[in-house]
Parts: sequence; structure tokens; C-alpha cells
Amino acid sequence: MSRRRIYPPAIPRWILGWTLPRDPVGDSIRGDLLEEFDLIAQSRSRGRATRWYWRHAFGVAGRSVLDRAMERLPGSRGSLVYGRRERDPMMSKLWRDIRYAVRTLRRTPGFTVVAVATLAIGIGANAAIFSVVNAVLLEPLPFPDADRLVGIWHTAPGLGYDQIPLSGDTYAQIREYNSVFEDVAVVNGGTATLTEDGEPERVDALGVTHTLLPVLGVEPALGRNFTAEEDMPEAPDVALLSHGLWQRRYGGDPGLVGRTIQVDGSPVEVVGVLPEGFQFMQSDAEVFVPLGIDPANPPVGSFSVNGIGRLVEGRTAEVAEANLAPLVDRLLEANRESENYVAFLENGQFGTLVNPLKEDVVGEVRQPLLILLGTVAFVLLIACANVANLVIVRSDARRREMAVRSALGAGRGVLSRQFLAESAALALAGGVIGVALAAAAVPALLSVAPDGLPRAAAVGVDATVLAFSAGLVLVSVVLFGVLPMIRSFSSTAFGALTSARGATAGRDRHRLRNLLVAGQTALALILLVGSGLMLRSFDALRSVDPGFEAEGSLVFRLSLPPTTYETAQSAASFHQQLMERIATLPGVESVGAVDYVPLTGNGSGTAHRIEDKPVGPGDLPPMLWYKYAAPGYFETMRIGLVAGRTLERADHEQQLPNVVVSKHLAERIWPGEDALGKRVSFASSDTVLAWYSVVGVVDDVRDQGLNEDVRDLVYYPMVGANGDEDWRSLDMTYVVRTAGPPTSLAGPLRAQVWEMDPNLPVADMRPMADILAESTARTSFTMMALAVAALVALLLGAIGLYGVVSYVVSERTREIGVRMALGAEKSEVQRMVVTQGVKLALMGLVVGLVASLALTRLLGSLLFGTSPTDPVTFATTSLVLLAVGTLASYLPARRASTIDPVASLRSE
Amino acid sequence: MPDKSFLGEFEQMVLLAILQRAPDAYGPTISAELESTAERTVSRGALYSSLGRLEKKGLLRWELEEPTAERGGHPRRRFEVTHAGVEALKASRTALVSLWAGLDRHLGPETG
Repeated sequence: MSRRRIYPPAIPRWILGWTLPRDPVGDSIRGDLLEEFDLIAQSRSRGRATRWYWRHAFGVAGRSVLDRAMERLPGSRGSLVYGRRERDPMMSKLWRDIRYAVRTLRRTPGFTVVAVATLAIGIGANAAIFSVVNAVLLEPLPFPDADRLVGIWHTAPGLGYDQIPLSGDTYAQIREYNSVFEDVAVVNGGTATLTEDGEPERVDALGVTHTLLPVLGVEPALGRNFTAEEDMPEAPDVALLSHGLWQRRYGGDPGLVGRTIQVDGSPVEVVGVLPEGFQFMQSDAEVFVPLGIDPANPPVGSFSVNGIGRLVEGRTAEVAEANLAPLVDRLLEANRESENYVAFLENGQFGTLVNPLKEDVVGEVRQPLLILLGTVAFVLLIACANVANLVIVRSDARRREMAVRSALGAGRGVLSRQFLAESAALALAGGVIGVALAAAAVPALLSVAPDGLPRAAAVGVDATVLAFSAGLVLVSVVLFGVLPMIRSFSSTAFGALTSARGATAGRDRHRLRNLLVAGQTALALILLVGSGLMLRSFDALRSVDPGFEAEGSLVFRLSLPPTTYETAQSAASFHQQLMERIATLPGVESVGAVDYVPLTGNGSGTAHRIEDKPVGPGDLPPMLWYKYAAPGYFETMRIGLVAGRTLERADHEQQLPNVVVSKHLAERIWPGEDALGKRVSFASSDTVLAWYSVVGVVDDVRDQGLNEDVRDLVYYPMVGANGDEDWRSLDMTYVVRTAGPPTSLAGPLRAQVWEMDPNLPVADMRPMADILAESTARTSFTMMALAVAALVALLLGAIGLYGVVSYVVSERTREIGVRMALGAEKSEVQRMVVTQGVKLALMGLVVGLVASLALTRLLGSLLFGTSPTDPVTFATTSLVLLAVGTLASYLPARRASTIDPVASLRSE
Repeated sequence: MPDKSFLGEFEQMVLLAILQRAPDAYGPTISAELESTAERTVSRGALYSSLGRLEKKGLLRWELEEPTAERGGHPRRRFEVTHAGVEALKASRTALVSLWAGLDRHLGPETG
């Protein structure tokens, strides 16, 4: 028998999974429900089965939770319903209250649905954002005793760096004089090309010291870690592989350990495989190789390796930082003979910095996440204010019921318990639905979150999130239940009975409602202003001229294996030939290449010498950023030429010492002079490097991000002119400008590459426009999230205002009838009612504006090109809020103006 | 220790349904028995809650049967009324019968 298996709906199944115990009893109940669902689906219909399942799953879940809660309560001896005599009186009262509450709420389904839905939105939004905050910010890193892991950095205020990576020699120094760390490791990112054993593949790689795994507290799942001997410059090549790579490329072959694989064209022995799920920080590295730093003779002054350490038990990051203070002095001492290095260290005012590693991982996203959490907290507050208003209206309508019951002997205790039970039932229902909403929303949230959200895989609704949501339910009950309750007892039962006739209710009854509406309006305005500012930032960011034209071009990266392309010329001529072949493809307008296209890579910078601007002794040579560019790069990226010419074929073929510089650099170094013909060179302490002549000046580009300043750049040819110091451009990013849609060329481009070298992986192929869009992702994500929150807030606020004004109109029906009978015009009545609503909105507006002025500063670095107190945003959002407020008051006002005076007077 | 209190109506119905369906008294068959007799939907929440409570009182017991694919790999519980359960039912019946005795005049003969 083969019929297609159908499954019950996921949400109730999921709820059952959470509420039923994980034992044979719970399991068998799950099985029973599944069996019955199947039976109904086969014999009746699937829809009926689904409805059946929803109903009974909730029943079973609710009962299971209650039963277990009761068992745990002191004085309770068993399950709830039927063993009445076993329960102590308090429990029986509680149960009675809850059942009574549910019955009462069922009698007013409209109120119940609106209140539960409002709370579900509020609680759900909070649970969803909190699940992200919890996984990203609160949960420790997935390493043992992760709170002892720290990131170690240098500071160099003299060079304008808050933090820069360690250097090989500083790493060696820290280890040598260490007394605060169990051990220290350094890491350097890169890529590796794997050949043999299948298609050529390019993967992320990390150069690490042999100390990394012990520092993290991780053991290889298979094989072993590097030894200290293997972590030396001349040691034979070894590697550790990630679990994923081992499974994917090598089929999980346990015999791989000890075998040799081809990495970047060289044989490398695999010594171990890392455990499944191992991830170092945000790196996707799959190949780990020793950095090979010789502690006796480490590389000096190349600040490019990230340091991490494990603190000795009981030490803090601050203690470690203080302990590292003498490091720079020792470094100066050790390098006395190298004048330039000493000058570099002194002028840079080098220091050290020790951060908890967690902060290094989440630093960038902490602020937007906390802002989002604050935003959704506002939404919950607004939702609670709305429900509180509904509850007040409802309790006003029930004043007589309450008064009668109280006259018949129900004490305040009984009435307030019932009141609370109703609020609790509402909040609980809102909480359960809200959590279900959050569970459904989290994947959607992650799919629109910007790339590079650390630890995104760990995000989900777990026990912590459930506990948080339970807390929200309690807070909500206090916010919307307790306040109105206190208020409802402020007037006596006798008063309620005698004043049952519907004149306008007492002032203090309105005061609380008005306060709530004004408060909601204020909160809604704050969110509106926040999202308005983000919108302005996004707009400003999008209108920034990146300095190049992204539309219509495709980029991809090639990494030539150093063993195959041994000389600078062989690499350069490969690139040259490939570009020529690509240029002949139909649909290609132009082609060029560069080491890193703008908005990718961290950039390379080094000290330079400038021929006509020599630095004095002890002064710092200027630090310049540089790129290697192939002919055709500027033309293809449409980076404008300001003066002279761009790099040409001859510059590469004849290795001419020519460079192109960016406009801002030319103006900074040679203000008022002609930069053409001036000469620059890499600064080096020991050898004299060749001078390069400026042959062209090009427009500036935003190399590091649209929100960053333009970066001064020197463009070198992709092949160096100096015999000893030849640089080989092995890694190049190709840019291809196309006539049609860029991605249509993906296939032909790959074919061209593989015709020239079938072992070359083509990596990261994507339209340049995507790279540009990614650079605005953080701003657009925050903007979107805030905008959604602000819209929900505005909607809830409008509903609140509408509710209050409507209620006032219904209470004043008689008064309005009298006015109209006495000759008041419809328009006058409308104006009177609208004014009342707008007054409330204005009150909220003023409070909201003041609060916004204080709060928008928190957006700080998320804003771009706009001030946190941008008057345009404040004015526009205020107008929007007023317009919505007026509309929300106008609707009931129109109804008020249609009141028939005679009918209204007769009605009571 | 068996409970000396009388059984609730629903508890009696559950125990009787198990006896009716024995030896095939599983969650779904008990539900079916109750629903066909009571002619209304039985809340599964109430049913499983009662089953748990009756087990704690020692009035019924269950044994686990192997999981099957049809049940999504979940095991099945087969229920049996214990000796104490039968005694409790008898006690309830006796109490009810003596209370009913001589009331046919007011209530009319049994219907259905």
C-alpha cells in the first residue's frame, strides 16, 4: 500500500512538541493524535482533519501544561479537573476563575479577538527580535569557557587606528612574556585552491598558529592538531580540514588523515579533521594551515594577524591589557637598530587592547540589534496601551454587572481576581500565538538580514526565548490589566449603580484613557521619526557617487596557483591573454582586472616614499593605500580620467615603472602642483626600491563603503619592475562590462577561463551592482525593520485614538442630540469631536518630539548624511502623525454628526 | 494506594470504555467508544488528563507497544483496567443504584 503520507499542520505539532513531556506517555499521545488525524483525513477530508488536529492539539497541550503546573504547586495532589476533593481551596478558586474568565471572554468574541491579536503582534515581534538578540548577543560563543577568550589588538592613534591586528613579532613577544594567558594564537585569512580529487575548487582558508585549537579548547574530530615543529617556516606543508569539506570533497573518508592533497598546486599532508560545526569567528574557512611563525625570528612590523588568547582562570581582559602595557617598550628595545620601525612605532603611539572575544564578533551588529529590540518593545507598549483602553471600555460597560455582584456580596478580592484572570487569559493566548508567529517569522527575518550577521545559524525559538516571552506575558498583564483594575475600584459600587444612566462618565475615568492614547501617540511618533531618519540615511547613501559605474558589469575572481605561474611575467601574460579572449566574446564591451574591486577586500596599505617630499628623520613616511590594476580596468569600471593616461599594455609588457593615482591623493600630496611626472615608491628600511612615475590621475572611488570617505589610492601595474622585488599578480578580480544583462555571460566566461587553464576555479562571480547593493544592506535592513515597526505603531495608535473618540461620541450621544436639537450645525459637531481627538494627538506629539530629540541620538553611527535632529524628518513625521490622528478622529465625528436628535433623546 | 473517593462521571465512562474495548483499548479506540456512546466530541485534552490521573490512582495501567511508521514512529499505549479500577467501578455502581432505588416514580423508567 502506497499512499502519500500527509502531515498535520506544523504549528500545533510544534506546540505539542513543546508542551507534552518527552517520555513514552507524551510520545504515545503524539502518535495517537497523528493516527486519528490520518484516519479523519482518509475517511472524511483533509480540511476536517486539520481543523480537528488544531483543536485537539491545543486542548491536549493546554491540559498537559496545566496538569504539570498543578502537580508542582504546593498543596496540590494530582490533576485538575475531576479530582475535586483532592485540591486545596486556593487551586480550585484559581481554576474556577480561569474557566470563568474564558467563558466571559467567549461572550465578547470581538473584544477578545482584537485584544489577543494586538498582544500577539506585540509579543511576537519581541520574541522574534529577542531570539536574534539572544543567539547573537547573549549566548556565549560555542567554545568551552568562552568567557575567557579575548581578542588581542594593537592601537595606533598616531596612525588613526582604534585597533589594528598584531604582527608576527608582537605575537612572539606576548607569548614570551605572558603571565595572564593560558596561551595565545594568531590567525590570518586567505583562500586555497584545491585540485585533484574532483573539480578544482576555491575555498576560504585560515593560516593559524598551532596554539589556536588549544586556545579555543577544541580537539580535532579525527587525527591531530599541528605540532609546534610543523608551525615553523621551513616545515613540510600540513593542513587541517573542516568537517564539511572532508564530507563534501573527500566523501568522509577516514583514510584521508595522513594522505596528501593538492593545495594551491603543492602537496600538503592532511593531519586532521575538525569537529562538525566548528567555525572560527565568522570565517567560513575550510582549510587550516600553520602560519609558520618562528618565535626566534618572527616577521617584523607586518600588522596583519588577528590575535586571540585564553585568559588564565580569574583574570579579566582589563588585567590582561595592563599586563601587556610594557609590550611596545620591549618591542622598541628589540628593534633599536631599525630606525624606521622605531619611528613607526613611536609616531603611531602603539599600544595594546584586549577585548572579550564575543565583543569582537558581535561589535558591528550590537547597536542595530539593540535598537531593534528597543523598537519592538515600544510596539509592545503601544499594543498594551491599546488593550488597556479596550479593557477600560469593557469594564465601563460591565460596571453594573460588577456593582450588582459586589452588592450581592462578592468582595473586592473576588472581583479583582476575576479581572486578573481575564487579563491573564488574554495575555497568555496572545503570548502563545505571538511565539508561534515569531517561530514562523524568524527564518523570514534572517533571510532579509544583511550578510555577515554573526552566529545566524544559532537563531531560533528556544527555551530562553520562551522564558522571555513568558516574562512579556506577565509584563503585559501588569500593563493592561492591573492599571484599569485599580482604576475600576476607585469609584464605589453604589456610585456605579446610581449613575447607571449614561451621562458623561467622571473625569478621572477619561484621564487614564486620554493618557494612554497620548502615550501611544508619543511612542508612535518616536518610531516614525526613527524610521524617517533611517530612510533619509538610506536615500543619502544611495545618492553617494561611488566613483564608478556598477550597472552592467560582472566581476569574478581568479587565483593562479603559484607553482604553475612561477614568474611575474607568466602570471601577467596569462591575465593579458585571458582579457584579450574575453574581449572578443559577443556582448562584451570591455574588460579589465584589479586585485580587489571597490567595496571588497580590506585594502592594502603601506608606507611610501615621495621623491619630492622627503620625510625628516624620526618622521613617519606617509601611509598610502594601493591596488594592482590591469589595462582596461579604469575604462571598464568607468572611473573617470582627470589628467594624463591610464595604465596600458606597454606598462605591463615592458614592466614600465608607471603608476596612476587618485585625484584626492594628488591634491593632498601635491597641492597646487601637477602630479604628473612625480615619483613615488614603497618605503623600505633596508633596500632601495624603484621609483614609479605618476602618468595619470583618476577620479576618487569609495573603496571601503559608501558611508566611508574616499580613499586615496595608488594604482600599480599588475607586474612589478624591480628584479628582486617582483610582485606576481596571482589573485585578480576581473571586471567585464556587457551590453546585455551581465549574468548572461557567466557561462561563456567560465568556458574561456577553462580553455586556458582547466584547473582554475572561477570564484565569486556576480554583478558589480550586487556588491554595491550589499554595501547598503545594513542601512536598508535597519530602515525596513524600523519602518515596519513604525507602521504597526501608527496603525495601533490610530486604532487607539479612534476607539477613544468613538467611545466618547457614544457616551455623549445624548448631549450631542441636545446640541443639535438646539440648532448646532453638523460641521460644528464634527469640529467639536475632531478637536477632542486632535488635542490628544497633539499632546502625544509634543511628548513624542521631546523624547525623539533625546532618543534618536542612539541611532548614531547608523545614520548617514543626516543629523539625529533632522528638522525635515521631524516635521514630516509630525505631519503624518497629525494627519492620521485627524482621520482617526474624523470617522467617529462623522458618525456623531449624523445623530438624530429626536432618537438620541428618546433612547434612554 | 487506591483512592477511596467515588469516581467522576467522565472517569467512569473512560474506565468502562476501556473495558468495552479490551483487549484493543488504545487512545483512539477509547475516544471512538466514548464518542459513539456519548454522541458528542470528547476533548482529547480531558481524555489524556483523565487517563493520567486514573493511572496515578492505580485504577488503570498501560503497556507500551512498538512504534510504527503509520504513527510517525511513536509508540502506542494499550490500556487495562486494574483490579482496583474494577472495584472502584463496582462501588460507584452500587452507590448509584442505591441512590436510584425507588425513584422510578419520579424519574420514569430508563430510556434509550
